[in-house]
Amino acid sequence: MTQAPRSQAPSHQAAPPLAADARTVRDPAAQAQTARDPAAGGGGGAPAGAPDAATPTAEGSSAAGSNDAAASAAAEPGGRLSAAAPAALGLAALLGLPALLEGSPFYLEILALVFLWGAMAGAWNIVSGYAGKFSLGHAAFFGLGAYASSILYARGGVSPWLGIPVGMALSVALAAFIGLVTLRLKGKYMALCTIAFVSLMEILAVHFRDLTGGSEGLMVPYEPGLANLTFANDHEKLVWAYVFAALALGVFLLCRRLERSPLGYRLAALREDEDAAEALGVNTLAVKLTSFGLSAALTSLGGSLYAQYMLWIEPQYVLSMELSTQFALFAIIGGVGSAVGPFLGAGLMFPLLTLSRSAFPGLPPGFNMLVYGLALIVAVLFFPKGLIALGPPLRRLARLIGRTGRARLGRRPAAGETAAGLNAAEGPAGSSHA
Amino acid sequence: MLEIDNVTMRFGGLKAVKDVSLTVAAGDLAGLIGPNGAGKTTLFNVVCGQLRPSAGRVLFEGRDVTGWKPHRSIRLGLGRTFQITRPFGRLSLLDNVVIGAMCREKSLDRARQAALGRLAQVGLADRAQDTAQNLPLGLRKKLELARILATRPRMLLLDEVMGGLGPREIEEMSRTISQIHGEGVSIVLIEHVMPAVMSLCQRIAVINHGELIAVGSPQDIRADRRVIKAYLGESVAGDSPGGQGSAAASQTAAQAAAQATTASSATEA
Ligand SMILES: Nc1ncnc2c1ncn2[C@@H]1O[C@H](COP(=O)(O)OP(=O)(O)OP(=O)(O)O)[C@@H](O)[C@H]1O
Ligand SMILES: [Mg+2]
Repeated sequence: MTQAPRSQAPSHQAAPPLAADARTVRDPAAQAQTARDPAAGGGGGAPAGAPDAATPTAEGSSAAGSNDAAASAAAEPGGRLSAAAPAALGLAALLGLPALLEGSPFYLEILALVFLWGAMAGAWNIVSGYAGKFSLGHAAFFGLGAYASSILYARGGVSPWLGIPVGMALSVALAAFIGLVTLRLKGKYMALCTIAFVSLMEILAVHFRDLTGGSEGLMVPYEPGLANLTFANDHEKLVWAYVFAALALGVFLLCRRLERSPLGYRLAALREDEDAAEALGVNTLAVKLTSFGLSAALTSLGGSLYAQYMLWIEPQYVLSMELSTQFALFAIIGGVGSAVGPFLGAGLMFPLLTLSRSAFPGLPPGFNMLVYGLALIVAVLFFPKGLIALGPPLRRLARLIGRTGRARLGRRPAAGETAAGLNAAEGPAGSSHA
Repeated sequence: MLEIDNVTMRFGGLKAVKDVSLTVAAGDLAGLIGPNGAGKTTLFNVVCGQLRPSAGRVLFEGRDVTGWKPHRSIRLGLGRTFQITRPFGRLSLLDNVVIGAMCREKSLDRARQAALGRLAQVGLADRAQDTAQNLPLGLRKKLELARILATRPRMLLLDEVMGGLGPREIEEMSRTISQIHGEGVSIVLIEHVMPAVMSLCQRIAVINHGELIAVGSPQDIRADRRVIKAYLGESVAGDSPGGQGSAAASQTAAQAAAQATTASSATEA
């Protein structure tokens, strides 16, 4: 299908500090370029920031997950304390890592995209994780957002700041339509049906070439300025890393909030048993459409930002099955139905893919899908709950180490401490969809 | 309070409910009995909006609620439990009930308070934090009840809440039902556990093959020829003289019904 996505991170890197050159790299012809950072294969250090960034909130479990509200409430006093350290750490990583990496644009770009893809997996997770409505159609919203703001800007001179909300509104409308058609369907049927919409959108984008630029893609004008959401060369990547970090943080906090809200409970009820939810007064159609719309709006926002970041979009990528799969995969690998999971998944998978691409430049275009497939199988077989399932044992271990440390110092842990800790360690249950 | 007006429910060629008309007054504790496959659950499904009837109307407190989505009728106070319990498996018992309580409470804190109260009412307070999917059947039935109670229904349709329970659990459940009724909730009870139905209900309706064949007091129902026939089949009923004086026959009817209980618990398990 397309080569662009796989080479994006590396291709930026191909013309490191000179953003003007990077523009030319965005030329479709140059997209097939693969990375050639010799050091790339070695270091996995950079992306570790993303998991860190997300970790603080792994503490405590969501009411909407399988854990019980009272238990987490009971764990709250202790939980607050122990959550403070990772929270601070995560925030520091979010703010500090991009700055640290400024000298190496290759890693900075990976980091920025980890934030973006984490946010997108998080948005997907709202409807497919919390509500259990499995969508493989989210590229439709990503692409719609990207095209809406870019077309308005490139063809009509409308600032992306206005194009973004327009794209989001269109995506919500599209989500309502897709939702009414597909949300009644169960599991795999819904997934299959949503795929169709992505293909349909791609066909439309290719067909209306006067508007969209057709299959060659659409170039977004390069006119630096905050009003155009385009940044001048010198600190461009750093700024975008922060923009995507903010997006990631926003999605993450929204999901955390959602988990503890009535809507979060309703989503969980929907996921567990739709008929029972309805019989208990949950307006299941409204809840489904709300979560789908919210998810679509966030995905659309990500698409618009991505277009401004790349200054070039092509239908074969922004409206591809591959992208749709990627949203789902990152969330599933990290842990579906939890706020932090999608970021863990993106933080692990995206750097892994990008680095292996740059280490082995000869990899065929289908390589990503192969890795996605294998990773999905491994995840489903061995980590049905995703990486977040590793959280509780790690926390228990940390507590154990802490306790032995204290014991050596001759202090005993307070009685409540361990009890609450064990409760909290139950961990939120993700639902596995495979 | 509830008026079922000439309701028919067709599934393809099968008429699961045939032209049933039935009213339940406010304050009633009514029973709905009939052999397996008679159409009892289907009738509940029609009343609560899980199914839209092929013909007929359902009125709740004078309002036509035919084909209303369940989440709307529950807001009017018309609630039901499911014969095959449907817990939110990966949620705690408390969260299960909180979802019911959210039907009336805007704030989660208050919903949680209400939910704890309901769990206590059915005797599940000490397991509030357990995950619902690991619950044994008896407790799942209680959870189902607590959940719907949390929506503060004014009329409750209970579909075999005693199915598959042991004698002690049945007694406990009977007591809970009386207590709920005592709080002013009107109740319709589908049940195969005849002794419990007979002692709890003031009025009993019997359906067979989708048709309403009798409505009356427990005494009337015990003596009703068509009811005995429905439970025991043609031959026995043919011998029975009918009318009064068939104490022996009513005895056998109760026994037959008791057997039906075992059958239905087998299906549930
Ligand atoms: N959704 C459906 N589609 C097709 N047939 C159905 C459906 N629901 C019920 N039936 C059929 O309608 C008839 C009545 O079923 P129903 O579940 O109402 O019986 P019931 O009186 O509740 O029996 P039980 O005591 O075993 O619970 C049965 O023959 C059943 O197979
Ligand atoms: Mg039934």
